[in-house]
Order: sequence, then structure tokens, then C-alpha cells
Amino acid sequence: MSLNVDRASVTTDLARHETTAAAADQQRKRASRGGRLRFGITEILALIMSAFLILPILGLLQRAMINGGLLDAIRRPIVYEAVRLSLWTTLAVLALTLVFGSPLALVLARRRFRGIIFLDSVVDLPIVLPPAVAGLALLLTFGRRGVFGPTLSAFGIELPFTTAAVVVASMFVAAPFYIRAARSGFLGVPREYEEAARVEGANEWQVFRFVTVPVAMPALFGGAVLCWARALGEFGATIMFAGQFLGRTQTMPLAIYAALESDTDAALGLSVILLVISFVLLVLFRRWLRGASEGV
Amino acid sequence: VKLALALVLAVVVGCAAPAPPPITVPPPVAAPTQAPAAEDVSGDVVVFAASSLTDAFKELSDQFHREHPNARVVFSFGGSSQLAIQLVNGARADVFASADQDQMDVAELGHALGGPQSIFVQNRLMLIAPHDNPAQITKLQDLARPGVKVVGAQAAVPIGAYTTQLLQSASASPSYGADFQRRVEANLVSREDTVRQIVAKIQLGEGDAAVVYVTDVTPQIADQFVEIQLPDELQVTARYPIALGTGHNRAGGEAFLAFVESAPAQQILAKWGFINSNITLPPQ
Repeated sequence: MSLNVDRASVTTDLARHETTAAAADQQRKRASRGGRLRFGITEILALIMSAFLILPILGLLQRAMINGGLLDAIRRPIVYEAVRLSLWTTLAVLALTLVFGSPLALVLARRRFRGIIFLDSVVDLPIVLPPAVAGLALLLTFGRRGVFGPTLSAFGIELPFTTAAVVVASMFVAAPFYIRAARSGFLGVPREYEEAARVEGANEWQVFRFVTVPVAMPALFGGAVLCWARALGEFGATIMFAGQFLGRTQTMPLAIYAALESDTDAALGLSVILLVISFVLLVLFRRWLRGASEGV
Repeated sequence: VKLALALVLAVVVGCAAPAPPPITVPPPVAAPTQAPAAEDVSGDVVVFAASSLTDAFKELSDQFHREHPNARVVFSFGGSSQLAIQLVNGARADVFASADQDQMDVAELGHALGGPQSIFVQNRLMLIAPHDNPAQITKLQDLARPGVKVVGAQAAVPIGAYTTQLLQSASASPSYGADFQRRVEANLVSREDTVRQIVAKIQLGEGDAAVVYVTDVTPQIADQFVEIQLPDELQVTARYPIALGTGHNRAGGEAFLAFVESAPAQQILAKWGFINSNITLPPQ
């Protein structure tokens, strides 16, 4: 479960650094024209670090290649049920996060009131919180015996062990990635643009829709991609709050964990699928950033 | 310089000779000159144990440390199926204690054992519900009632396999009905990875009922559960095999194995509700 924490911090750093990636690329292009790469201590250390990051991926792919049963494994219920569940729960997380997270990001970026620093930190908390702690917190809050358990029960809602619980758990840990990115995106929108639009007679929604959002779009898109990727990889909070059951709460990461004990091919197949999705998401993310930075 | 070199060599050889475990207290400086007694074990003894053994083995390790002051037991508790897979994929343990034969066999087939297996203790099953018993569970039949939230285990986890046995034999009995197993399994809300996670889900009140080992409800948490005994004719006997692994501290592993079979250790196990392996229980 600590793995998830590492992943969380890595992805936040990514968000921070990716924004300058395009600029760095330009610099690199200029530098590479200057001559061939010198091989000093920096390059050797960099090589070791790159190998460390790449080797586990190659190890997984190599094992997947020599395992002939992989294509066969993809047709098993544990695999396709997990893929189906993961895709639609993470899309639900993404949609809910966009709808409720964007206003919160806007408030954090624009309003000044007592307690905003506190609210700002609380929003970031799930990023650094171990997912197991998040899972326990969710159980103690929305579980049957949790703070709001009896209230929810009165409306016939019992969250734990349901697909809704998967969405709640993933959203709790993934939404902050979007909100953070969106907040910095909104902060970067020059107020004069919005003022100009207001002078032209635009109402608040039109200002938001036609000025704020387009200007902040690279950050919003980047945040959405990271949010989706984090939701897709969610493990700790989900297994605690939603349990694991085929087709209902067993998402891809949970299915990998379960299949490892009985069906290694299925675990490998799911890992490769997750790897490919994550990689495609990252490539999309970079392309978008490059396009956006060239456009401005 | 030669003297220094010899010293370094002596230390290196001294360290290498007793095959130290990966993380260990640095050996005493005088170690190379001292001839260790044959039965003297030291260092960390890495024990992979089924999660149902958690409390009993923790107490065992204190007693073991008293008998072998230079040795320390380091545990990794988990579902036996998880542990077996970790061992097969190269995890080093000096001892593996599994909650069922299947997972011990997985380790053996994966060349992860360093010696013969033996059954060292037995266990039985029971039914538990949260103390307020929201689904009013009083007997095994209640698990099949529509809407009851039954928490189970992954199929490979020993408690999952034993529960399947229990449900199968119940389904063969006319008082439960042939579709009893199917109806109970339709009520499953989660398949957990270890029996202790099942217990936790019931303890938190999220699940209505579960089949666990009689040893899982320890005295500290007993007031948070309703315990329901199973009918004798359906009872399943869980036999726990233990074996040496392929860890670095073979002497330590052997000492722990011998200790587990000893009378003081069996007394501790019995205190936590386990049954001596010499007692013949009716086969299910």
C-alpha cells in the first residue's frame, strides 16, 4: 500500500514539472545541436537511474512475452470484468471530479477568506495520506457504523461492498490531483482578460466558459489525466472500503493482487493492460502540453 | 599491513561462515574465535505464517527468545496463498507455516521448501456476526437468507477453501438443501485476502456474518462478536503444516520447528484455541 503513496508523490511532482517540460524540450533541442553528449559522472548516474526506472517495466513485458497464455487470459472473467469495472468507475470519478472539483478549484484560486489555507491543505491531504488510512477513514465515516452510516441507511443506502464505494474511494484519493492542477491553472488566468469580457457584457458563466476555462485548459487537462490515472491505479482505499468481489468491486489493481495467487497469466495480462493505458495517458498528456505551449 | 589484511579477512570469513540472515544485529566482535555450541542459534529467524496464527505465534516468539536469547523471530503474517506465492517467487523464509495443505504444496512444488513438512496444529471453524447482530444470525442456515451480507475469502485462501468444504457438505444434507452453497455464495459481498481481514470487516459491522477459525476471535476482541458454533457433523478440521524454507538461517529455522512441536509451545497454541496435532478429530 505504501506503493500507492510513492505513486501519488511521483505523479504530483510530474504535474509540477510537466508544465515546464515543453520549455525544457526546446532547450534540449538547442543543446543537442551543440555537439555530442559528454560522458561524465552526471551521465553515468543518470543512466543508472534510468535503468532503475525502466528495468521493472521491461521485466514485466519480458515475462508477458514468454507467457503464451496471455491472449487467452484476457478472455477470462477476472480480467474482462475488472477492465470493464475499472473503466466505468474511473470515468465516473473523472466526471464527478470535473463537476464538483472545478468550482472548488475556482474558489481556492479566487476567494480570500479565513480558513482558506486550512481548506487548501485539507484538499491536498489525500495525496500524501496512505491509502489504507483513507480507506479506514471512509469506513468510519460512510460505513454502516460510521458517522453518517445511520443517516445513509435511513435512505436505504449502504455504501461498503458496492460499486459506488469503489467510486467514492477512488474519488477521495484521485480528485485532489485535479483540484490542485485546476487551482494553479485558474491562478494563471490574467484577471484583465476576465474583466475585459465583463466589460463586453459577458455574464459570470460566459466569462468562465469562454475565458477562464480556455486559458486554464492545459492545466485542467493535465490535472484530469493525472486524476484519471490515479483513480485507475487506486488499490488501498478501495480494498478497505469496497472489499473485493468479481464484477462489483474488484477493479484492475485488486484483480491483479487476487489473481497473483491463482492465475498468474491473468495478473500479467491485467498488468500489461494497465501499463499500456498509463503509458498512452502520459503520452497524450505530453502531446497536449506541447501543443498548448506552442499555441500560446 | 599484512596484519590488518589478515584481520579484515578473519572478520569477513567470520561473518560469512555462520550464514547471517540479511538484516541482523552485527555479530559480537569475539565471534570468530569463539567456537559456537552446536545447538546455539542466533540472528533473525524469518517465519512466514498464516494470518490465523498471528496472536499465538507472537506469544511463541517471546518464549522462543527466552530459550534462545541470541535469536529473534521475525514474522511475516498473511494469507497462506499470498505467502506461498511470495516464497515461490524468491522470498526467503526460514520457516513456512500454512493454514492448509494446498498452499504448502504450492510452496513445495515451487522448490521453496528446505525440508519435510509436518502437521503441527489443528483448528476448527465457527460462524461469527457483529455483537449487535444486525441480520440476526443464529445458525448456519441463516447465511442463505436473501440480503444477508456474508464476507468470504478468495478461493485460494485456506479459510475460503475450508468454507467451500463446509458449504458443500451442508448442501449434501437434506436439512440445508442442494442449493445451499449457491445461495450462500450469492450473498457474498467481498472475497478478502486473509481471514483476519474477514474478521475486521465483521468487527467494523460492515458484514453480517462470516465463517472463520475458532481461534480468530481472541479474548481481547471477543465482546465485539456473536459466536455461533457449527453442527458437529458439518465441522471441518483445518490441519496446519509447517516446514523449513530456503532462508539464510537454517539452524534458526530448525530450532523454531523443534520448538513449535515442544510441550511449552503446544501449551501456548492450546491457550489460543488451537488443537494439538496428536488429537484425532473426526474427518469432515
